[in-house]
Amino acid sequence: MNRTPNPATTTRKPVLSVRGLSKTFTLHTQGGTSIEAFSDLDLDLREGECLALHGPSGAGKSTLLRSLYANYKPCAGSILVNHGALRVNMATASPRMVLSVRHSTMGYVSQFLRVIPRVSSLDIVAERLTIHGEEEQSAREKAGELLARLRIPKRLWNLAPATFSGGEQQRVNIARGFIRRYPIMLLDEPTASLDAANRKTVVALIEEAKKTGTAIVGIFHDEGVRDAVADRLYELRPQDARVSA
Amino acid sequence: MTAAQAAEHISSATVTPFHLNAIPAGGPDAEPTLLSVRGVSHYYGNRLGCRDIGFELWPGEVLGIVGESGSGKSTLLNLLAGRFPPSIGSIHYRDGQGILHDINSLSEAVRRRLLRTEWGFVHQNPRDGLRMRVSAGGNIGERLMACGNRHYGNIRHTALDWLSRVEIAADRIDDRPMAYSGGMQQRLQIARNLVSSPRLVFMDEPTGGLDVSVQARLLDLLRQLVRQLNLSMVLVTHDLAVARLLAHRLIVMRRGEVVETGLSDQVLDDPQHAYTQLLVSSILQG
Amino acid sequence: MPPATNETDSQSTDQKVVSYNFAYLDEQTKRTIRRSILKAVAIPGYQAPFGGREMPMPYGWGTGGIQVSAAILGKNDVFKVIDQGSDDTTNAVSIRAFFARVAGVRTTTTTAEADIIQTRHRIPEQPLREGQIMVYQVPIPEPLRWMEPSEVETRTMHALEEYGVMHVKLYEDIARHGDIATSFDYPVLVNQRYVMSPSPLPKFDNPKMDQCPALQLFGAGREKRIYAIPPYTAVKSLDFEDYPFAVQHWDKPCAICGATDSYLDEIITDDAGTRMFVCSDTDYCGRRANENRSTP
Repeated sequence: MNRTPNPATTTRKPVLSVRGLSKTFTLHTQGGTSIEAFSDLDLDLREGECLALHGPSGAGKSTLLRSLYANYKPCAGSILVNHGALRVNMATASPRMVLSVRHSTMGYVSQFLRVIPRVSSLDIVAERLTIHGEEEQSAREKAGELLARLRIPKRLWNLAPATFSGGEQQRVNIARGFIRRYPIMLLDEPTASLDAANRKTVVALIEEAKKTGTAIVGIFHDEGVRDAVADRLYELRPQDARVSA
Repeated sequence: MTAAQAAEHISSATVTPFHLNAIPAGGPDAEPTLLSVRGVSHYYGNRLGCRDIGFELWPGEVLGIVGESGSGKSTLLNLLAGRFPPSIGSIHYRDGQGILHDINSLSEAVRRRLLRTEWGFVHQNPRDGLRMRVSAGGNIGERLMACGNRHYGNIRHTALDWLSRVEIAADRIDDRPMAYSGGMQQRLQIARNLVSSPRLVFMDEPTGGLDVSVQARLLDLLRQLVRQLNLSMVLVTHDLAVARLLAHRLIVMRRGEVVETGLSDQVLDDPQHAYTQLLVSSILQG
Repeated sequence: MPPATNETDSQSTDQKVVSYNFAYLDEQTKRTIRRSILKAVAIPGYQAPFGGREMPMPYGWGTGGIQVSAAILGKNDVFKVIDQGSDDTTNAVSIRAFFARVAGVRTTTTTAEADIIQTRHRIPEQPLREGQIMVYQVPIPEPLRWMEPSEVETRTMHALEEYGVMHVKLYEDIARHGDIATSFDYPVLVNQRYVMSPSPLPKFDNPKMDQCPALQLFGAGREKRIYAIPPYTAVKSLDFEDYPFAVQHWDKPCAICGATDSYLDEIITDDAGTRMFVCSDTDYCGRRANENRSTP
């Protein structure tokens, strides 16, 4: 599936530009084995567009997404991000700069919720607003609205999600990602363990985010979701003979 | 190259190329630092404590120092807190008035004033940081009294407030720490340190001797307090889960030297150095 | 301060034992003690170390006070000793007799007559005057000891005026007893600088130390420390704004002399547990009782 890029989007300046990006893991604990995830990737992402990373399992989709978020450290290349008035290279930025980008420019919805002990679902979501100075009361109201939209029963709002089902945890995770508008969002299989109704809600959330100008890079295992939200596909092929000793 | 990539590549040709490291001034790293450590080494006689350590700490930042026991973590923490001077190198602290202090040449009077006002030191063993024969209220109130507070009612009120913040029941205020569980003692030690609204807190394995369930509670509490009070913290721990939850940045030490530094999640999820990989791969999956 | 003479020649009286130097200690020892006293006077409240000597009595019986008295005693001085306010307890009688024998000085039980008053745990009720010297026997000179066992640390705390822990002690009192229950050895701040232990005085006597016309010297024999309050020095009892310092009060007057302004001891008078409250200062009480008898 290849779509013709919307001419309106291609003329806009990219909010994220990847050039010559390579990532090879060196496993020192296993005799220095090298595993190449990808090499020499170029990629541009514009305001309001959604790019779907595409490729078979093991092609490096997740690794690329994590590299964009500076969770993984690329070996070569650059990841330039518009961060306010700054243009930041996530591949080389200082930790504080990365945190600053994550704080206000780049959101990330991971596949799994990293549960923080004792913090309620409502607060996990609302915290994303309060750290930006929003009043606790209104932050919690908005968090409640979004959790309700994602069909998290109200009785669970004040519980820590440690004991929730996988789908419930994932929806809390999505609510946390979408409670606030980020210029760039990275989505790692956001609908993996959701039922049809919730998938539809997530698609709607992504569409709404795009309308406000959010640029999205995502991995969408579900074809229906991918077709619904992606403007373009970005093909990643598994590297041949990637393991070298 | 896929068609999409090709299309993308063409469209991006018009984009002005940016120089990779040309991040304009005014980013978060341009702010004044709280602690500035340059080329610090310490030797115990001929034995190496730590070698050539350098880093900056900014306000509101939590820096984790991880590594096995004997890696020089605690030596470094003690050097930072001015408990003894390094053999070589400099450590500078910017106080609340913006005055820069050289920790090595600090007079004892100034060092101790900082320790009871702008700094906190949370010991691994709460017995080292608490007065075991003084009630919880007295333990919390000591810093207030040391700073000149002479109103019993106010001191007591503040102590009660801090007990509730560290989740200790108000009716335990007159009990001595001896009568507390290990987790409560550690929380009391934290309250005793934070009551003076310090700017910089040193923590040495704060969850060290605690049960796992008790640890979780303490970690969550610390996480909240760090955020509420905009605390800066240097946290020494061998527990990578603790480091991940609390620290923004990590320094990985081995045999007295820094082998890797970086963003906490990056160091833990994509460790570069062989030793860090070994540490990370040694975590039991719970 | 009466001249502390260096007399070595024997001006023997009937009582004086000729084979001892005047006031028992040799002159060199007295000089070292005087130097410590001078330092203590110069830094009010500061604990000056001194080279204590073995005295012919056990520690705890006033060896510190005796060495201070010996160092300052002149041959014309009149000497008084009280023990918990009393002139006639074993300790008071023995020390008085000791100096009568080894120095040949005149002794008295009358506060107003005395030039030097060595005391254990009381200050006389009769206001002191200029020229008099109080010599206190001190068991534990360090007021911070209760909170801090390390001597190195307490000295640093004094040097840096880190006295927060003293209020922790008072805080503990209020938290535990609802009021500052410390009634003896109540800590004071001398000359707005040094926190000082007033030896185990009842806190009733603390106000007498403030702006006192007499020189006050404190000697701790076991710990070999001397400290001092020069005449007319500010001595403030530590307290909280909402729990101000207050002295003890009694509901009844002294059962013997009827005094209402003195420190009273509780005395059990028979096996049935009958109690009476009488002045602890025997000189004061006796004089008042005499006056009461002569002016019915």
